[in-house]
This record gives sequence, structure tokens and C-alpha cells, in this order.
Amino acid sequence: MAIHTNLYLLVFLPLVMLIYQLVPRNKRWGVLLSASYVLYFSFSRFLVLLLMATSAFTWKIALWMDDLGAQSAQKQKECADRKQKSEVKKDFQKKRVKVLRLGVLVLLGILFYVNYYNFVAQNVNVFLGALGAKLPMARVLFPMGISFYTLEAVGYMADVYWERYPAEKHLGKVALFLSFFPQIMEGPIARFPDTAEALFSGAPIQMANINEGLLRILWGLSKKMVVSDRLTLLTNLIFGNYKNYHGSFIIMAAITYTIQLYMEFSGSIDIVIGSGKIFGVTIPENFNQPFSAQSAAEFWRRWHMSLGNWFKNYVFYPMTVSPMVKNWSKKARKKYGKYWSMVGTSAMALFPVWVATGVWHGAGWKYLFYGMYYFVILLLGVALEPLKEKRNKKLGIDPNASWFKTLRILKTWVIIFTGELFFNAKTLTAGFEMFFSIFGNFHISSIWKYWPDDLLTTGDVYAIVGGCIIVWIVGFLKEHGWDARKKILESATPARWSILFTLVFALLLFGAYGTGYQPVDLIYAGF
Amino acid sequence: MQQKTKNILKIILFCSIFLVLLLIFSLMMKPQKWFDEKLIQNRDARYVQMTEQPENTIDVLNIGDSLATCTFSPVDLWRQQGYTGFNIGADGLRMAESYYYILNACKNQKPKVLLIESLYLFRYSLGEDTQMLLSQPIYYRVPFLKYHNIWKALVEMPGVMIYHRGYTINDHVWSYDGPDNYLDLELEDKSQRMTFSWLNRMWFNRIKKFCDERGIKIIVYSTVSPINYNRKRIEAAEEFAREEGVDYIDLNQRIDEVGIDWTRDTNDAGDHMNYHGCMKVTAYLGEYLKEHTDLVDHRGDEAYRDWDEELVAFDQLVKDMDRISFADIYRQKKKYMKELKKREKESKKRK
Repeated sequence: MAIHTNLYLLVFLPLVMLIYQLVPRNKRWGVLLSASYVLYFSFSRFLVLLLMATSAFTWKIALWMDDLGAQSAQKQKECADRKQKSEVKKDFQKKRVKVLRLGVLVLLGILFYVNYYNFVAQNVNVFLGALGAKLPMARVLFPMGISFYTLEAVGYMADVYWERYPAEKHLGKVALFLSFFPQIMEGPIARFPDTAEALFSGAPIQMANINEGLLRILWGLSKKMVVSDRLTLLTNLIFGNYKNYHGSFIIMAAITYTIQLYMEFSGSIDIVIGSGKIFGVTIPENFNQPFSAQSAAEFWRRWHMSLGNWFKNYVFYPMTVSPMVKNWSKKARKKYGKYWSMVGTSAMALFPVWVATGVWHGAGWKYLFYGMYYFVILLLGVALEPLKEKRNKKLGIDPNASWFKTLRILKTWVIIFTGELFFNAKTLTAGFEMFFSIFGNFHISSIWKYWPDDLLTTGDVYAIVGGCIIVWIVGFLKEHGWDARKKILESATPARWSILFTLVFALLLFGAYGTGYQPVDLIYAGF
Repeated sequence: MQQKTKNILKIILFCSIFLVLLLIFSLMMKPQKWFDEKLIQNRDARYVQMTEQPENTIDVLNIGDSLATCTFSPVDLWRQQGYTGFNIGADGLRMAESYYYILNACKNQKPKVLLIESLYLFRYSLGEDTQMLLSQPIYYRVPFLKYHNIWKALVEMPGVMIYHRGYTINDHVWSYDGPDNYLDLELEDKSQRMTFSWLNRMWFNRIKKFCDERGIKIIVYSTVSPINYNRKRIEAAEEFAREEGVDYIDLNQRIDEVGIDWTRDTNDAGDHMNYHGCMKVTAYLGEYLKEHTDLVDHRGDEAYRDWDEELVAFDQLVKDMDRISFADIYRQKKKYMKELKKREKESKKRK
């Protein structure tokens, strides 16, 4: 029961709302937790036990670290001098690190086993084969959302370790934070203080929140059903049979896949945020008009923001301030100068982030390549910055001029489309074949000559283009400070209802659903 | 009034307005009145055209997925036996959908036989089929949702799929060159199901109950298709039919009796029948119906004259197909539709 299905939207969500409102306030968190496990059971069956175990384990590890911290404070009080205090502190700090390592290793170990074991075994077997040995392949069931809730759990444990906030004593609160039903499939990856308090508070459902939540859900559904689900047919056809298509089709597939992915992923996040809002929970945003970005780095600050923030907080910053990087930076500055020290430090901090970002998306060389692709582009961005400044000065280019911004946006689009081409290709080899076919086998006329009009008719194309234009206008206005959603919610009831009815009926009329359309699975639910 | 009560009233009012609007739009959503029948394509086409058939004139309904719709030609059944039939299936049909297709078909008709091609009985996905439990009854009762795609007819070229009582002629040949003993082999697609889900059984029982109440005889058959059938599947279908107390015919074990020529009769290397294969299967099914039912030959009956007219148009199109292949028609649809329209105008002028 995915969150975009009628079963979720027409039955599950209203039922949870009803039960939530009917039970006493102090038990409402229990309703949300039970609903989360029911939903999880509906697609991962008994792997819900793994989610429960992960929650209990995370809760225990955090408490253990907290307990060690308290013991350390107590022991320090009992110490006679500073030196002794410092030794006690160090001693307990070591113990806390060990506990954190245990927690992180167990959770990442499960994630590794589920996601990557077979991939690693397959590749290792290529070498072992020569020696006559072989790693056995595992029959692994994929627990839905494991990549999302594992990162949340690791983030929570790390924050407790860094004493950003104390460990939560109530197991239910940690369990609900990790498994809240709208978020479990596709994120966003939240931090404990973002949602836990609101989830646990059992605040009554407010009319204003219902309005806001439903409007957000409607908007998300429209993106998915009007645009994304239609484009899926086209992208699947071309990516699945790329050898039969000219380069012009490949370029189109890269563009349409990017649009499909954005509409689908951001649309489902809208449904997630809207669902959360109904219960008074503000789930963090995951997208911020990513196609307005003027560089790849900015794109990643606007696209899948919760993943980017997670890697920034738990990989990038710790790497930057790690003794290894700091020492290297110091030495490099003396030996090679400020510029190369800066480039080298950036490389050392960015490399693990982008390896992790790549493989987080799945097991496969193409995902690793995807991560490395952005690593190289972002590093080039850092390395070429002084040159760019020089060029702008020399040619008298105003970096804030509209034409220059537009050019930068277009350049970023090319980077994004190319990245998504590799991301969605069946394999890395297929990705390269598709990429090179753009240069060697490009026939623009083949688009209208061989357009698969049995899959996407003229009407479908109109719906896609119309949907994209509306989403773009709404995004553009928001970028310039005019939030359409806010304006609708602030308007008088008759006007608001008129807009809502128009949206609902437009969705019912132009949505790709019903007989003849296969429901399209959520892409990020597979990661 | 308390805020809480106000809010509840607001929700009730909102939902009521929504339902009223949905009702109004549904009443307006009569595709056959809005559009030329030719503009309505794919699934909606058969569904709409079925409701347009003159009252109580259809003897045989044929249902199933694409395997069913390309294997049974009602016009050929008329030519051979004088029985009237209609294809009400659809590509990738699901059991839940099929139940409502049958309900729709029987609104104005009292068919005596329901032919069910067995392949779609195997098709199942827990997620999708569970959803259909909720969505299909709604689509059936709310025409606005059922026909929501009909707006596309406004912006698109008239379709080229010309339906003859639910059958579209396809003369494309892609021969099957696989082994003759395909029944003894595993299916190429290993993920294909060999059993029937409880949900599909439930829908079948609903169909059976509906048919029993109306005296409609159900005949389950497995059409010729090396890609989709092997012995395991056929035995499963046979056992299913026995358990449900309905007739079952397997054509895969009667290749010679049906007269299938693998070099000529299949459209896509043994998956679906083309028109040549369809004629043969229809002929076989026609003979079966003659022997096992008491259907009446309507040929010569003035009330069924439109069937003779349709037969002439159908044969003309088959001749056209020799000139322009199906694939070409599809590619050159603009040109072909213009030609058809011109021909229609001329024929109207002549009349």
C-alpha cells in the first residue's frame, strides 16, 4: 500500500485520522506507530520485525551512550584533580565511541548485507574464480525504506554521541520517529528534533492542518499522475531498448527521465509532507526548485535536500574537521600553497560523501559512477572558481546578469540530464553506450518519425507539457517570493474551495489512472 | 456554534459539493453522445461500443486479455454460424475489471454464452488487485472516472483501430519458429504464474453467480499461444474449470484440428494470433458452440441485417489490408483516415 494509491489515500489515511482523533491524546502516538507498522507490513511483511528491532537497538545504543556520559560526569565529580578528571573523561569517551561504533556498524552492516552483499560477492567472484573459490550468493529480502530509516537511526545515535540532544528514554518515541508511515518509503530523512516531539505530542487534528495537508497531497498527486506516470512509459521504452533508438531519442529520454523522477519524487514527498501536516507534524522539505540551480553544487542543495544534509552533517563536516584532513591541509598549505591545499582538502572531504551518495542509491557500478561523476564536477567547480572569477573580470561579465544566470542554469541542466542518463541506464556499460550514441548516431528527425504514439498520444504530450508548465510557473513564483499554496490557504473559503475543486477535477480528468494504466511504483522506494 | 461542529459541517458541505459536482460531470460524461465512435480508442472503445449494440442482439460475449480479443472475430462467427458475438476484453485485463465489463455488457443484452480466455485468470499482483477491489466498483458507477481519458479524443487524430464488434483486424505475420512440443517445456518467462489467486477465484465466482442467475453458459478456453501456455498451465486451467463446474477447451492440444500454420497465423512469434489465425480459432469455437449450445442462426433475419452490412465492410477492410499493411496504416494514420473519411462521404452521397 504505497502512499500514492487510492487504498492509502481513501481508506488508510482517513481511517488513521479518525482513530487518532478518537483516542485520548496520550495514546495517539500509539495509533501512529501501529498504523506505521501496519503500512510497513503491507509491503514488507515480517521484515517489519527488522524495523522494530532496529528501533529498539537504536534506542538502547543511544541510552547506553547517555548513561556512559552520566557515569562520566558522576565520576568526574568524584575526582580530586583536573588530570584525573581528564583521564576519566577520556576513558568514558573511548567507551562511548566504542558503543557508537557498535551501533553504526550493526546498522550499516545490515544495510550493506541487504543492499550490497550480492553485488560485492558477484564482483569478488570474478577474481576468486581464477583460484577456484567462490563466495556464495545470498537470497536476501529487501526491507522497504531500509536506506532511509538506517540513516535516520545512525544520525540519531551520532547526535546523541555529540551531545546535540539527550537520548530519548521512551522506546515508542524513537520507534515512531524511525517508522512514521508517510516517511518510511521515500523519506525525507529527518533528524530526531525535526519530527519526534510533534509525533509524540498527540496534538488534535486541526482544520487548518487538514486544509494545508490535503492541498499538498493534491499537488503531489497531480505531479505524479499527470506528468510522471505518463513519462514512465516513454522512458521505460527507450532505456529498455536503447539500442533501437537514435541519439536524439536518447537525449529526450535523459530529459524526460529527469522530469519524471523530479515529478515523481517531489510529488511523493508532497504527499508525505501533506500527510504529516494533517497530524500536525512538519516534515522537512526535500526539494527547493532544483532546476533553478546555477551550478551542480547548488542543485544538490535543492534536490533531495535531506540526503544532502545528512551527508553534510555526518560525513562532510566530520571529515573536514578530522585530524587527518586538518594535518594534511596544514602541511599542504606550506608545501603547495593556499589554492592546492583548498582543492586537496575539498577533495578529501567530498570524496567519501559522493562515494556514499552513489552507493546509497543502490548496488551497481552505475551508482558508484553517478557519485563519482558529481564528485569530479563539484571538485572542478571548486578548483576552477578562481579562473572563472578572472575570466569574468577580464571579459567584463556581470555574474548577476540575467543572461549569464540563464546560461549557468542551462549548463547545470546538461550536467543533471547527463547524470540521470547514467543513473537510470540498465548498467554502466549501457549508460556509456547511450551517452556515446548521442554523438555518433544523432538524427533529430527520428523523434517525429518513430514517436511511440501507441504509448504517448498527442493528448498525453499535451498533459505532460501543460503539467510541466504549471509546475514551473508555481516554482518560479515561489522562487520570487509568491507562494501559491500559501495564497490559496489564506484566501476566503469560497475562493479556496473553488480552487480546490478545480484542482481535484483537473486531477481526476487529466491524471493517468484507471483502466488501461498500470499503477507506477515509486522509484525511490526501491532504494 | 462550537468551532468543532462548524468544522464538521464544513467537511460535510465540502464532500457534498464534491459528490454533487461528480454526479453532474458523470451525467455529462456520455462519450457516445459527445464524440464520433471512431474517436474513442483502446479500452474505452470496446466498452462504449458494447453499450451501443441494439438491445438483446448479442448471443456470445468473449472476454479476456489481448490473447482473447485477437483470437475471436465476431464478424467471422456470424459468417460461419450466424451467431452474434462481441469482444469485450482488453489488453492486460484483470479479473476485477472483467466482472464490471460483463455487467456493462449485460445492461442491454441477454447473451447466452460467455467465452472466457483463460490466460487472464492467471494474472495477479497483490497490490494492484487489492486496489482494484476499491477502484473498479467506483469506476463502474462513476462515468466521470471511467471515461476521464475521453478528453484526449478532442486533441487527437481519429484512431486507426477500427473495431468490428470488438475485434480489430491485424494481418501482420511474424511466424513462430519454436519447438512444436512447446506444451512440454517451461515458459520462457519464468515469472508467469501457474496457479490462480484467491482474489481471482473470488471474482470468477462473482462472474459465475451473475451468469448463473441470467442463464449464461460459461466456456473457458485456452487459445493457441506457445509463448503463454504449457502443460502445467493448461492442466491448472482444466482443473480450475472442473472445480468451478464450467466447460473447458484447450486449443493448444488441438493445433491440427484448428489448422494452425505457424508460418502464417501468428502476429508476434507465437504470442498472439493475427487475422489468419483468428479466423481458424473462431471457426473452431463456432463449431464447438454449434455442438454444445442451442444458439440460433440469425442469418437471413431482417432484425440482424446490420451484421450482413458489417460483414461487407469487414471484408473490404481485409482486402485493404492486403494493400496497406497494418503497420503502414499505423504509421500513415493521417493519410489513411483521410482516405476512410473520403470514402465514407462518397458512400453517404451515393445513398
